[in-house]
Formats: sequence, structure tokens, C-alpha cells
Amino acid sequence: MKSNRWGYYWKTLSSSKLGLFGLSILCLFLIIALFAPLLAPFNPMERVGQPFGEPSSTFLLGTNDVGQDILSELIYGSRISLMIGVIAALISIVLGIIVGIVAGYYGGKVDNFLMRVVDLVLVVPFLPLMILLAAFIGPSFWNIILVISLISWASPARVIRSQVLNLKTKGYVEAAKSIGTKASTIMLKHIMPGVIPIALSQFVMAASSAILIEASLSFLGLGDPFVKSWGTILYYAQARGAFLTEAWLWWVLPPGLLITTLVIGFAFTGYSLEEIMNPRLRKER
Amino acid sequence: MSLPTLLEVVNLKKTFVRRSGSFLKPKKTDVYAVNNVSFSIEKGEILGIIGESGCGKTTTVRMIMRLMNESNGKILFNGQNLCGLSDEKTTKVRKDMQMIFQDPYDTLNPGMRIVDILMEPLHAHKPNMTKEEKYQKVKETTEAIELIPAEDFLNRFPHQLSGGQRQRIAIARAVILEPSFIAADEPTSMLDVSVRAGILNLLLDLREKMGLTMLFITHDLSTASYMCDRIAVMYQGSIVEIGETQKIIDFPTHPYTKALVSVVKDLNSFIENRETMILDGEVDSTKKTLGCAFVSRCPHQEAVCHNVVPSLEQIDKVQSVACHCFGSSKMGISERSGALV
Repeated sequence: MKSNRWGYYWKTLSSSKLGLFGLSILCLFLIIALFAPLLAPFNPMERVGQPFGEPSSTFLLGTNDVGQDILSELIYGSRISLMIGVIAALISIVLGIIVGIVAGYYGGKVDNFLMRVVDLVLVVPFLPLMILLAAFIGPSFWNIILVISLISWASPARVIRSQVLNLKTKGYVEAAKSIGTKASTIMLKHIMPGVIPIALSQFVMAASSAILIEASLSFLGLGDPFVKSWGTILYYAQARGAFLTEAWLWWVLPPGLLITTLVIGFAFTGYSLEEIMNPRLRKER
Repeated sequence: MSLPTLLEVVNLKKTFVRRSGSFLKPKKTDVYAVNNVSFSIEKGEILGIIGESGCGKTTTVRMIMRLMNESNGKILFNGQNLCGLSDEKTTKVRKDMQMIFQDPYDTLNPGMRIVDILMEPLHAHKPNMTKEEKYQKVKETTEAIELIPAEDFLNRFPHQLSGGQRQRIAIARAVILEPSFIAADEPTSMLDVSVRAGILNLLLDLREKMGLTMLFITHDLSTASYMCDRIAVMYQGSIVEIGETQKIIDFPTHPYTKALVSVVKDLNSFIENRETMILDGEVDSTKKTLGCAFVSRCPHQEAVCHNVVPSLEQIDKVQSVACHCFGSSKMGISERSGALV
């Protein structure tokens, strides 16, 4: 049954062109990130050429203000962007699952309290808050992840809660209660498995927004200055005036395109996953 | 009668609040799902609660099983009042009272193997048992519910079993802790007629072997008469008649019971004499009557029926009824209704 179900999911996913497209983009980026040392022509931290070099046969996308190869920077940057996206999304989904299940299962006051906290997080204007947080706790790899997770756990929590409200009326949950199973065991063994599929699609969505947030934070100079992400590249490009010269073509456009493509990859995968998990959205085929 | 009482329910009540009216003029009405229900079950006895949909029988069981809080009343299990007990103590009591649910397709987690489903009660209440002991116990119980050989079934998922087999697993889960009391909420109503008898016989068997006491909920009088030592008939949240099964069937006293019994005994004569047995109409539990709940459908009404709620009164050693007309019921029904209306 289990393998059948996953087989069925795979079939639905692969029958959606959008999902397949998104998934292949993700795979492509994953391969680039994994094999970055093999693919990149230079070490991105080394000064290998003239500063502000134009594209040439050695430096396909030119060099930056200190003479580092931009192409290598971009290839290594995919590692940071993917890692931050995935880790931050993972943390926010785990938080979201815990909050969603506890709120949905216990209901009443607990639910009310947790959902008001969720409301609070959802309505706070998140860019100013993020800038404030990032500036306050200082720029570093893990702080960025922390900031992103603090902001993006709320909407998964709400989606998961609504699923839990549905699951907890199931007969087997009631049966477990009447048997005398502990609440924690019920949540873990009976409710959690039913929530995982939805959490998966929420995870993909959260990853795409985490990548965007990371890029914007880094662009504003609030990212970790010692790691090279796409946002950081854009930050230096902006700081060195590349936006105003013709250098935008090889210094600004490529990282921008990469961010967009990766986010689109996650978004498409997320949409088709959501379609699988929510049969009402499924089209007749 | 000499056996000690295992479960006693005293004046159990459950009200739901219905909100209506506009935002500015909110109106709250109480809807009684269960209204002043009292009964007791002796050790080793099977008490049936019978009634139509929505009469409050499931609500009653859910309150007894502590899946729902009561609005008022007492539930004494082995002399201990279950109402207002802490969660911890309730869990301890649950070891001794288990429930079989109506829908075997819903009560077994579709993602768990049968062996894990049956292990669940052991995990909850026998933390000291080793894994092998638990497995042994699961195997024994599976064989006790006539799924043989047990190994064939234990590694399956619920959807690989038939409805009857699933209900057997649900029964196994309820008896694996060797409880003294089991509440069965319409355990056969979702099953094919062909497998019903098997499930009922299994329950009777288990009762024999384990000395179980049972509360058996059903809407089917023939099932009840097969299973139960005593029957309580419920109508709109109250017990209208309670007594020994044979007595209820042979000499029904309350007009509602009479109608029920005659439907089962002889459907043709019920249809012919429908007018004298019961008035048409759906149950409307929101309409509040001062008097007897059955009055709107009762063919022989008296003035007192509209104004005073009848109380459950003992008519002999084994039977009680809640009806104003009982005192004069030595007369034939048709005669009386002609004289009074």
C-alpha cells in the first residue's frame, strides 16, 4: 500500500508538466551545488584576474571589483542559497508542524493562544522586522537562517492546524483516546503521518520564500559577508556601481536570473505537490 | 439481582447550546441530547440501549467512556465516580473499560499494520511487558477472535481485511487488556447481514470466556434481543422503558416500545395499524415540550402528558416505564384512545 501510494503520487506529479519542469530545475541546481568544485573554473575567494574585468574566454562572466571570477562565484553561490533555503524551510516546517498539531489537537484556549501568535507573526510587516532582526543579532550564516525561520513558520502552522482539525475527528484518533493512549503518542503516531504530505508541499513553498528572503537580506548588506551567496554578489555589484555601467549585463543579470529560476523551480514543484495533496485542486485528466 | 453493580449512571445529562438570533440579539437555546438518564449494569450482564438515530445513545456511551464531558450527573464505575476525574486517573480506569466503535473502516488507522494497532493498548497500559511478551499476547488475542493463523493477519494493513475482519480486529483491540467492561456502539450496523451473526456470537463467546460486562448500543431490536439480558429503550435523550429483554418484547408497556416491537414482530400488521401505534412525524429535539417527549407522536395522549414529564417508575421487579398512561393501560389501547382524545 505504501509503495503504491508513493507510486501514485509520482504518477500525478509526473503527469503535471509544471511539476516536472520545476523538479528538473531543482535537480539541475542540486547537481550544480553538489559538484561546484568540479564545475567552477576558479576558486571564488581567490583574486585571479584584473578587477572589473569584462567577459573574456578565461572569465566567461568577467571579474568583480577585487578580481574574483563571477561565474565561479555564482556556481558556489548556489550552495549557499540552496542550503539556507532548505535549512530555514526545514526549521520553519518543524516549528509549524509542532504548533499546528498542538493547537489543532488540544483546541480551546491553547488553540486560541497559538493562533493569535500566528496572526501576530503573519501581520507584522515582515521586511522591516527582518531588517531589524538581522541588524540586531548581526549578520552570520546561522543568524540569517534563524531570522528567516522565525518569520516563516506561521503560515505552515495554520495550514497544518486545519488538517489536524480534520484528522482528529477520525475514528482511530477517538479509538486511541478511549484506549488510554497518551496525547503525545496520539499526536505522534496517529496525527503526524496524516500531516506529512501537506507539510511536504508547505516545505517546498517555504524553501522558495526563504531563498528570496535570503537574497533580499544579503542584497541589503545584512547577509554574512564571509559567504558568497547570490544576494551578496548583487550587494557588491550594487555597491560598486555595476548597476549604472554596462557591467550589469554580466554582474547583475546572471545572479538575478538564477534567483528567479530557483524560486520558480521551487514554486512549480510546490504547486503540483499541493495539487497532489489536495485532491480538490486536481484537474480531470 | 444479587450480583454486584459494575457501572451505575445517575441522572446523566448532556446539553448542547444552540446559538441563534442576530448578532445584536443573540439567543441561546439548550438542546438536550441526554436528559436525566439513570441505569445500572451488574457484573457479567449485557445491557442494551436501543433507540432511533439521534436519541442520545451514542452520546451516553461517549460520556461513559470519557470521550465527552457530561453536563451533569454521575457515572460510577466500580464505585468510583468518573466525572471530574483527573486525566491521569481516567487513563488508569480506561484499562478496565474499553470501547468497540461503530465503523470498522474508520477506527483502524489505515497507515498502521494490524500488529501495531493491537499493540497500542499494551503500549499504553503495560509498559513493563517486553516486546516478545506483547507480540505473544497479540497473537493469542488474534486467535481468540477467530482470525487463524494469526501470522497471516498481523502484518497486513486494515484495507487488506474485510469489514467483518476489521471489526474483529477492533474487538481484539478492546479485549486485549482483559477489561471488565466493554461498551459496543452499534458494532454490527456497518456490516453485511451475513457477517453480523458471526460478530455477535464472538462477543457472546468472549463474554462467556472473560466474564465481560457489556453495554450494547443498537437501533435494531432483533440484534438487541439476541445479545442483551436487559434492554433500555431511549427516546429523545431519556430512557422510556427498561427491563428484561424477554419481558420488553413480550409485554412492551410504553407506546414507543410497543411500536418498536410490533415493527419487528409483524411488519404487515404494523403498517395496517400504524395509526393506532404511532403518529407520523420526524423527531424534533429543539421543540421544547413541558411534558412527555413522546407526546407529539403518541396516539393516546392525556392532558397530563402535555404538562408533566413522566418519571421512570418500576412496574414490577424487572421492568420500569416512563409513561403517564401506564396506570390505566390494563385497558386495550384502541378503547382508551377512543375514550380520551
